[in-house]
Amino acid sequence: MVLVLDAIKTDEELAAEAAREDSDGPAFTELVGRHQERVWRVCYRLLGNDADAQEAAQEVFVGMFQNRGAFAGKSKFTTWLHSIAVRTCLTLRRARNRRHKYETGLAEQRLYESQRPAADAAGQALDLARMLETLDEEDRALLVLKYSEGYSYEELADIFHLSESACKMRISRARDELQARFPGHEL
Amino acid sequence: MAKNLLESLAEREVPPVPADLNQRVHERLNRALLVSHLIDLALGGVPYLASHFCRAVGHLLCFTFTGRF
Repeated sequence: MVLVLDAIKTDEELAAEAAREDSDGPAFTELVGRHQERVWRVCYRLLGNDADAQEAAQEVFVGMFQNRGAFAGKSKFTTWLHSIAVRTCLTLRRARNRRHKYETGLAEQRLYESQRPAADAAGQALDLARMLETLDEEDRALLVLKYSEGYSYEELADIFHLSESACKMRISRARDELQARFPGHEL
Repeated sequence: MAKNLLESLAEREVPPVPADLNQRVHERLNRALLVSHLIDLALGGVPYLASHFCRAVGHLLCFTFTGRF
């Protein structure tokens, strides 16, 4: 009976209920169940591997629990949750990049190599993931979410706290930037 | 079929959600809750108990040496 009722409740109602729970009660558990698939996809798309995506997805739901009282219902619950997911992934990526740079000292060299004009790498298949690595973290995330998960400009604007026109402009600039760096590829 | 490179992003496979994700979330959350409760205890409960204990010891010493309470 409880399960049937939970299925009827909206995310926003469940979030309000979860805010009243002292621990990870039924409302929180139901929200995790409903959203784990999408959160997992976002984390995997942004981080690119299982281990980091799993770490991030866990962190997202812990973050959701810790901030559940802060959800004011001004935006859709999914937008609020996905904005936590994107922030978490960007933080993890920045930490991972810093660690990598510190440990190997090769990151700059790799970045430089991947930024060289495609003429240098003629006949060599460039990996799209590596091309995207040359972009600013937020621009990369905007492109990935737009093209891999099909987010609308409106959703992206809410998630990144930008205006819709700013979102369109950043995506267009990021594409132009990639096109300028890798002229041999149709973007 | 994707027309260009960026559109081909959507065709890349995403593995299924790990079977133990739910369980790991709850385990992680419980650890986080335990830590936050311990911090609450350290910041609130322990100083309160310590101050009471110190007052009791102070009164005991005072009574021992002066005979007055």
